[in-house]
Amino acid sequence: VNLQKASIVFRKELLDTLRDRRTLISSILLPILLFPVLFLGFGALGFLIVTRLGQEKLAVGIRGAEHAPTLAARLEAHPELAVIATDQDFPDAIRAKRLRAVVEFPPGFEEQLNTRPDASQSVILYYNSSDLRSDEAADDLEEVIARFGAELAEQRVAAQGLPAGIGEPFRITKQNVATAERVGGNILGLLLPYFIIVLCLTGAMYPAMDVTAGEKERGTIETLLASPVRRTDLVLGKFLLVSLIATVTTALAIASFSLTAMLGAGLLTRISDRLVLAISTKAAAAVFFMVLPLAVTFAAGLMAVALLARNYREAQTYLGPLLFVVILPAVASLLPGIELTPKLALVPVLNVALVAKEIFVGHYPWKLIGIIFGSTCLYAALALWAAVRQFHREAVLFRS
Amino acid sequence: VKWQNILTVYRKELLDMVRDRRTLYATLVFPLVLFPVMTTGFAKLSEMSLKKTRRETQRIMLLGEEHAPELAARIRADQQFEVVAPEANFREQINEKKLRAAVEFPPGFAARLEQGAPAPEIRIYLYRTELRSEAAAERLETLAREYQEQVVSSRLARRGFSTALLKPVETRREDVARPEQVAGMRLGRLLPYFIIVLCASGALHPAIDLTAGEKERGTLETLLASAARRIELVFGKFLVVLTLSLVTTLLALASFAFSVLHLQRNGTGASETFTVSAGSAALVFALVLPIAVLLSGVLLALALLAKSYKEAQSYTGYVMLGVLLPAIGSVLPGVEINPVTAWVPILNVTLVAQEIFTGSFPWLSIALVLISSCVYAALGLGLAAWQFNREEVLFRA
Repeated sequence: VNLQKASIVFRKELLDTLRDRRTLISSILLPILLFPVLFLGFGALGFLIVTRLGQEKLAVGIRGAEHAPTLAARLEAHPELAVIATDQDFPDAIRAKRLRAVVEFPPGFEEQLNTRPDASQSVILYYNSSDLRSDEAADDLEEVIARFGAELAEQRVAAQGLPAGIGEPFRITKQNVATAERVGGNILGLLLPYFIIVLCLTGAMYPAMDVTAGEKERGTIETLLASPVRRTDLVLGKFLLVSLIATVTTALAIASFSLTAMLGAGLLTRISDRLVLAISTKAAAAVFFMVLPLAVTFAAGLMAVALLARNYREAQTYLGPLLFVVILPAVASLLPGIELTPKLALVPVLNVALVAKEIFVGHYPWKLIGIIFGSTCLYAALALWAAVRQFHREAVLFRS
Repeated sequence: VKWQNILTVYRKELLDMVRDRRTLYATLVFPLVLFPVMTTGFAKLSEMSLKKTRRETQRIMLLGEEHAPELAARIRADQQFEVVAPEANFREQINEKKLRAAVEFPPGFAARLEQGAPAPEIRIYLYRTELRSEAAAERLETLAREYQEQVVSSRLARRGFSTALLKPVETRREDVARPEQVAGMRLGRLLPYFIIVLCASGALHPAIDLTAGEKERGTLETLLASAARRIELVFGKFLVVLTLSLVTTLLALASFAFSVLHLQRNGTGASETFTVSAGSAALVFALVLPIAVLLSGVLLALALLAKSYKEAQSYTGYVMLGVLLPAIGSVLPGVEINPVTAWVPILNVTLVAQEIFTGSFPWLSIALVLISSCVYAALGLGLAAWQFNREEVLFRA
């Protein structure tokens, strides 16, 4: 291996890549813009939906309103419900979403309640579980009815001369003891590792295709091979470039997210004041460090596969499916039951996604971090070996 | 316009596409294999992780257990928990997930309950947003509530009342949704989105190959010099793109249906079965057809602008993004079909397809969506025809 020659190849490829607008977009612009756009877009969309949902009145029906005049009047006065007339086939109306929910009072509902101090009555709420608005309407109805019941219970307790606290002998409270960093980190860990890994892969994809299949398509690979540089040095130079781009993409993605989270913190606190979605510099650096060997693996692996193709287009058909194969373990890290174990620490991609989740909550399992870093480095070495071997096979280089 | 010429162009281009074995792999075989593998594999994996979570016992701590022996005994008897000896640093242990939750009983809890005096609160400490911790706290709260109800009913019984005194009104929820509606809610919300994305991805490759690819290979000039008129060429090419788009979609759906059936037969997956009647399927197909026409037309028109395959890919990438956004919008809760959304292309079809899959048929909206998508489809096709008549686009250098 002649490092000087490898570095000449590297510089040449770097210049080539920087001149290619396409690579710049996918490797540099995309990771920078993705998070601010997602953040703003989803924020605005969520706001829109929430306000729109609030405005629209939900159509509900009351059956047997004459049996419960007080309660029916309260329901009619509810600001978010519009009471409309119902007939016998109301279940069909609920299924067709003309009505969101129907409440049915039994005969003598209020009369019975007022006769005995411990009389009870049951009310039926008809709703459609496949309609989100129906759930909402049923919740609204239930809330009004529950409040009516609670008031009645209070009156009964007072009327019978019972102590006021009889219904609640003790209180139960839940208290969050997790630090703000851990709560926010847990939410971040849901999606961020996945985004970082996918961006790292797509960042490496275009340069990897360009320095292999692209070179074949332009007919320059023969010239390059004829130069006084050994195959291994050539691969190394190209590989360093692809790794560099993948690394830069990853770093940009993490930095862009950190900045977005910092600047957007003001916006978020309006939604929930206890939510802190910032990542510390330490966590950002640690995650970057863990993704680094993965970026190298991607770079070498993509190059080995893309070299098989004769042209750009063919390379794309090969790498497209590969994208799925990589995304799948990253998505698996989102499943609720999956936590980092020594066995899972050996599964490529998944292990990095899982350890990133831990790091975002400020938890550093050093032993597992060591295993993951070591095993990912091993995979990177294997992928690099495969790439070098591919470049030594004439059958692959000059396929026609 | 001569149909004969269109047919000739169509047959030639189709033959071209089918002969490219790699295209066939990418557009046909791959989704056929990938879909079943992905769905079954993922269902298995999530089932496994769910089972594992259920089997797990959660480690909790009881602080001041001696103050509330009855309630503590209830918690200890619960199979879900493994109770460990109290330690002062329980907060850190919860943060580090070594402990899922802790319960604190105040001094004199049982004694005050006995006297009927209001007892101070019991506290449940947890790690918010952490799934297992939230689940443990939830269970602890339920156990405490059950105990509380028992205390209340014995207090009332002592005074000669039933518990109904404090609970005058009970509400019972009755779900009127048909089983297929509930299943449709799950799958039907995602299925239209998949169909549209499949349509677009099926049309993408042939649209580029028949325009920019032709330019790249240098065969476009020859083709234009043939006896076929421009409009006939466009129609022929367009029909090929449409055919492949629909074939990809149908094959992927067939393989998807197969894997869903397989999952349902094996008892994994949802308990409700998701079925689509032939009529619904035909109706959805009729709705998707104009979308496929629109996408084929627009992709052809855009790809023709490019000089090379690579350039075409970056242009069409933005179209794919434009397709994905409204389709994703349809999955968001609260977005429904109404006279306004019925005019938003792509979004309208996904929304109406969702309704159809959940078993409701809003005919007025369906008609409106059909009309508006046909208008958009005609516009897309017109765009492609217009592009093919512009020399500066055809011979861009």
